[in-house]
Amino acid sequence: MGSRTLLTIAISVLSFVLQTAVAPNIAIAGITPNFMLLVVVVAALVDGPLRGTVVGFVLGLIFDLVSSGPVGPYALVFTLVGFVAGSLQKNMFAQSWVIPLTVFGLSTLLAEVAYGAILATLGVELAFWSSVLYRMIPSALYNTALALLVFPWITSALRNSTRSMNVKRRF
Amino acid sequence: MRIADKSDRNIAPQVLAALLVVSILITTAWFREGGSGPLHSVRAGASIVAAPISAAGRWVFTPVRSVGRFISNLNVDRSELETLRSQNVELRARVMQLEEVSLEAERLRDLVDLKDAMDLDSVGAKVISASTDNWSRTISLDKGATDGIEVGMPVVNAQGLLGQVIEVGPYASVVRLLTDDRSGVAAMIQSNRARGIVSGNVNDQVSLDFIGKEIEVVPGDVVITSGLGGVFPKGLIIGEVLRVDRGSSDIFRSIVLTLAADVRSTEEVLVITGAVVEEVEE
Repeated sequence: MGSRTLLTIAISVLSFVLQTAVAPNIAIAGITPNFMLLVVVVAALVDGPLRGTVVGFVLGLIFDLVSSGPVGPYALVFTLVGFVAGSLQKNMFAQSWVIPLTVFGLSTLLAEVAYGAILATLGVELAFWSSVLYRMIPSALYNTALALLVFPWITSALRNSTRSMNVKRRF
Repeated sequence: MRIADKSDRNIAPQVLAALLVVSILITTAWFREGGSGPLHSVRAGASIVAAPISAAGRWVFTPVRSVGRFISNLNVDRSELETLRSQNVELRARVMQLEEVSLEAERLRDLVDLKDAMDLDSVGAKVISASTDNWSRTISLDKGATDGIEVGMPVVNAQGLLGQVIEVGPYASVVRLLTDDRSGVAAMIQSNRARGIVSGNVNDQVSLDFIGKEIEVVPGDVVITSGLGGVFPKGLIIGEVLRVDRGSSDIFRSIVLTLAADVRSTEEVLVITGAVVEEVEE
């Protein structure tokens, strides 16, 4: 098992602890930050769609197990987010902080919309526009604010990745 | 840090498709299997793992909020003054601890009074965590099946009704709060006995639905459980009418409630494990 894989596992475990121990205690107006989704997006942006997809599935399934909804929908949503964010990796430029933060915000929004759509498909009655206003958008904003904390790390990671890509191309 | 290999990018769509199918199968299995199916058992196991972590987080955050910080930077040369200040800090911290114990004792006394007053068979429990996601409004309790708790049991605190048990593990259980948009409780207005359904909304407001427009409702009217359906004992206080809106329906009023119980900060609860004794005897 490579050091990168071990690091990903360690960060995933940390995100689980933060999600269960810290997130409920720092909820604002019922909106809880999602540390596990942040890790999925970071893994996808740094390591690409394959790792993003796998990490998304595993963390999504764990998130399902510790939340109180049905088991399975978050696994599906996080898997999708991991793949989409990982596919953007090639086009990411770490010179600007706007792009990664936008990706974080949009990833949360995508996850929340997809989860709401799955619940609706499963027969759960939802007031869609109210959910957008009171849950999806606030959640995306909160996660984006949270992403500011990990932004220096991800910037450094992306810059290193870009540099190594340029070196590879030169040779 | 590395850029994903080309081969990784090529197989990623296939892995995505496989994992999406697995996710859909898991979701389908969750709904198909009974409450004692393998996935439900795995979740019960996960709750055993998560409960102490959640409880630790709550333990860390609650005292931090309530006690605050007493230690300040004392920059004094005289040793006697330093000692007195140090003692002062210790004593203030001790007073705050005693105050916390006193408040907890008071809350527990209220719960015991409620239990005696309503003659309910119940189990006391502590709240160990709240929802980890944005789509549910739940709390987790430190009591589970081994303490006699079952799915469907009502949960109250000294102020009023909080919600209903929706999941039970061996040593912990999950309660769906009244503010959850999937909650529903048969209720009535205390003064005129008009019956309706109390349910939560996406914006965390609680409403009383299906009250006809011909019935007069004013802010301040008390709303209690009606006992219909047999899940919640009759007479538990839910809250009071906050406002009566025009609403879009021609038949029913749109009524917004203020809950009697503070669902966000409650720390000790009673799970009603049995029916009201008088009703059982009848």
